[in-house]
Amino acid sequence: MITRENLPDWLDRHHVDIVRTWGTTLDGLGVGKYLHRDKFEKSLPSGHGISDLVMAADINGAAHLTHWHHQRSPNFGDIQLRPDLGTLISDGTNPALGHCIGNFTQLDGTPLRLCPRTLLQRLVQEVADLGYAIKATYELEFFLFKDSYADLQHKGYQQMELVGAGSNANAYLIRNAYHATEFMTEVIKRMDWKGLKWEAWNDEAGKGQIELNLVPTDPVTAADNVIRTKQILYEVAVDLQMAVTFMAKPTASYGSGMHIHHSLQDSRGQSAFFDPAAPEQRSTLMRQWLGGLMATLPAAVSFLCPTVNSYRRFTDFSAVPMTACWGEDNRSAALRLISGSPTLSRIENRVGAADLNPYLGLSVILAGGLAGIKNQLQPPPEFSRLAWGLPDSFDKLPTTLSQAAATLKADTLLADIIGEDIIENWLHTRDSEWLSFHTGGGDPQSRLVSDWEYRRYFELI
Amino acid sequence: MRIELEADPVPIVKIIGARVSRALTQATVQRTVAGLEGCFSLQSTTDAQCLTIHLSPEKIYLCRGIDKNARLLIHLDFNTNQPPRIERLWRHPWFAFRVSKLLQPRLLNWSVAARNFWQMTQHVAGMPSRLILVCSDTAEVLILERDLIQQMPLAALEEDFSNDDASMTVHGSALTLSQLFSGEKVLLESAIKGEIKILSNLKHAAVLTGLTLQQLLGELKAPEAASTPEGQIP
Repeated sequence: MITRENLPDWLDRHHVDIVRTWGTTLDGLGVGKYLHRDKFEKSLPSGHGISDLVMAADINGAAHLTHWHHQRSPNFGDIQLRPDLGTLISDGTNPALGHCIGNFTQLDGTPLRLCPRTLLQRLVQEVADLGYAIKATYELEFFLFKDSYADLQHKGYQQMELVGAGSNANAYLIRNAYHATEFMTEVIKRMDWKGLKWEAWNDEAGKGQIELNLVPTDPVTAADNVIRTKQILYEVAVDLQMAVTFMAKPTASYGSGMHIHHSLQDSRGQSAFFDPAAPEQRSTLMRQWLGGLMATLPAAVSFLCPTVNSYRRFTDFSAVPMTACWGEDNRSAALRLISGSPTLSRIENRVGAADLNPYLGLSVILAGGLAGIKNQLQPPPEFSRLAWGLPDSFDKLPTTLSQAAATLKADTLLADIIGEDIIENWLHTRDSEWLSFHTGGGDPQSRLVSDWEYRRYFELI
Repeated sequence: MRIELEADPVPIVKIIGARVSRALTQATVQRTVAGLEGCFSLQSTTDAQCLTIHLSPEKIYLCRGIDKNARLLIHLDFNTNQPPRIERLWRHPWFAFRVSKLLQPRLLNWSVAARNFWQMTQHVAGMPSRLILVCSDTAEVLILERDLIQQMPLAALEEDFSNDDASMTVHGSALTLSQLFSGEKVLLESAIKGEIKILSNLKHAAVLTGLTLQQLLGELKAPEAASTPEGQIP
């Protein structure tokens, strides 16, 4: 474990002269600085200053100036990015470079409540206070293009060349995957150098679409691993004159999701979701946790699908959950349960879009589970049939950014756990995203991805 | 007459809905559009925004998109006061004249508009405790406080509020101030365009910007006892 005391030795041994700090904004963008090691060491433990705009600006860098959060700096002043030394790693590719993830604080060191990583840490602690540990992981889906980012910008994101064989799309095709092997080999090499553990990658349903699965770990590390992996994917794409995007729906083909798996363990490390004596071997905890997830699912969509583009995924029979329901090993349901196993029992949230913020996406899931325990909620009956193409009488999930925001605004369970100020601030940012789309050239009636979406999301999200 | 917006309305539907609602507070406009039936569409000349306004004796219904049966198709820049280009005007001139009244609500006198706005918003968290408006056309100042409202010639103002962090000052023309507090403009957008000058901290400016945006979108609700007196721009 790296501490302030043994840090100089660690930096020496790893030949690290520069440390890139990393904080994550509400939209999931990485922000930070490249610090000389002397500056990095001197900045500890409080970290270095950074404009408070990083937590109060949209993806385009435009300041959110239609609302106020009580922890904002009065006049575009500084906040701090406090490094978490437990995340310090060497780059591997660039021998002089190290990376350190941090949390945003006020200048006096008070944690910034809006900081996504801080929120996730707080909720993990709340679960820990109940006596449980959490394991989580994410499935990363993304599209890979033969064109470079510059080429795609120049072409106006038209006639984009996807990586893959022929024009037919199917999942798990080895021949499709082969076309991405050079790219993914470089990605995995860099992941291995950085100690990022992965399980598998495969060709996904859309042409040029790839899924990469990370090894389950504690929630904060799992989310850290997502942002680090996404950055590696981006850097390899840049280095190989290619492009990769986490837009939820960059083409007319299938969309990209970010399914989130999680499970709870008790103090002995045993699955807290598994009870051999309970019906379906689902523990009371799992039922209440599931009850909370279901009760908050429609409201959670705002965090799980945070952009205008996220909602282009929502079409029936496109492997995207449209209905608020759960089912045992049911991939058409919003929540897929794997229960009855002392080692594998878990819940998979399949609503999340590829463009979600991994800290916020998991936070809203934990908040739902906590709401279930706190209020002893019970889930609705299992849905054991196909959950796509259902009549309107079924509880559909929100299908627009504004619907999702209105649903979250009407919810009280998540606000009770996450905090009204955080929810209110988030809602203002989503209103801003919605307004920017409509007044910036986006066409809500077109089924085509707009130029506005490509320019805003393609490279950054 | 009832105004109804589409489900999950897009911004332009909300903005025009709020404008129509303000227009209908005037009895003359109510009389002018009474009995009108049919629809007309508006299309932005600068982006993809468009909407259709359906008129019937019971209600006015606004929804996104252009209706192929629209009697008029009005092309305009929603962000400026440039004259619109109107298709099929020659076929429906009387209809065009009457519905135009729905889109051009009479603006309140800047002072009246600001007082109404203050009445609705003064207790909102983050609002300045004192809002000072300076009208460049009339050289008057309006000081809005929780328990005191004063209007006087600028020359008569003795107190210097420039270092008072609880205060916010807005300088502008009578028209701009009227538009700002009537739901036609948004504070910081107007400031960035140079239409107004402000002396404020960021918190007050952000909160007031949010409230003027809410009013533009028709989301700012008046307290139940609030009145809406009419007035003329000087």
